[in-house]
Amino acid sequence: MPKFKAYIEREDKNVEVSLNNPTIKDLLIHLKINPVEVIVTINNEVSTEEEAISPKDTIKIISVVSGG
Amino acid sequence: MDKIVYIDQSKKKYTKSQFIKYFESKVKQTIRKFNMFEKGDKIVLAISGGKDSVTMAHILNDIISKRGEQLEAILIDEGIQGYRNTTIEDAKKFCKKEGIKLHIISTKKEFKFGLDDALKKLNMNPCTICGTMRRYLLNKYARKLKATKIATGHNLDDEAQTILMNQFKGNIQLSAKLGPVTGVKEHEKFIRRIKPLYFVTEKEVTIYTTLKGFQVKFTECPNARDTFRSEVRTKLNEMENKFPGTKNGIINSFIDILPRIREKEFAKIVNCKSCQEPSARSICSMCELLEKYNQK
Repeated sequence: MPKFKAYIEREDKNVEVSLNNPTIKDLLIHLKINPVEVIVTINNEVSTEEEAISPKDTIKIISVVSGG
Repeated sequence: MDKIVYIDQSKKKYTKSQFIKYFESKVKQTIRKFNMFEKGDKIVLAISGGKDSVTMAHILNDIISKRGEQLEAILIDEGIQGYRNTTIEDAKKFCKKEGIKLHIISTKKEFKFGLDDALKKLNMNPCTICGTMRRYLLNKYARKLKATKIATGHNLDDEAQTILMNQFKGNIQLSAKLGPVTGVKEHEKFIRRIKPLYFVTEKEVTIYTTLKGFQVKFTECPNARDTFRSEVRTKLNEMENKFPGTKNGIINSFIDILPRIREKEFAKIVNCKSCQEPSARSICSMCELLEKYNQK
């Protein structure tokens, strides 16, 4: 199964997961991240949860929870 | 075909330019619907350097600068190490770029202590201490700048959480102070506050900030984790994920009943016996906090 890398900004953590033809939504479900609480960029472009990802993509998961 | 960056509750899709237009229209519509300001009002922005206040400032600056006026902003430095110092730098850069005059007010200079110092002495919720200091100083210094309105970056998520928090604590009367326009109408020392981002979500603000390329860090205050608010936020976001529209439901129903809550609950504003600043009680929250701090 292909591997996908993502950077979770809030935790300053890189993760790698094996998934089959995933969308961003599939990735977030696998990582147990609530899509309401994040935005995701693929290759530095804001993307929606419906978008499919490929192993070559640079994926960044940014928390929308910020401030005090 | 342009990339889709956002899909709303009704499954409508937005490209970058469509989203920016949608977001800015929503904010400007909020300003109009609630008569947030008119010609002759002097608006002072409450800025922190974070995504919400920077977004609010950018859109208001777009409106106000067309009138040939310069906006002024106040940033309250509560002295939170490793957090506030970085957002101050972001705020300075942003205001310089936008042509907004920034005033930085330090709690250490004003009260001889910051939030970090207060937390070492007082066994209190950090958000309570921080909120007390910030509201007090914002009102005092906005008044010195002759403001008639203070604009804050509170968004739909902030408000929905606060409404629920007040409800869970059995203190719905506190919610009389909430809403898109807050504050008592007539008291010479009390400046009304407006929340132009009232109907946009935290996620929408984050998307807007990213698309516009604002240089802000999406960092959370170190005192904000593991608090009552953070618990409420997590549960509310879980509900929103399962039942989209939950947050909008909370806000819209609240707006409906707000006039009734206010009819019952607005206390008379007096001048604090100690510092003469406006207060709902004979001694204001800031003076009570100072007394507690100095006793320890």
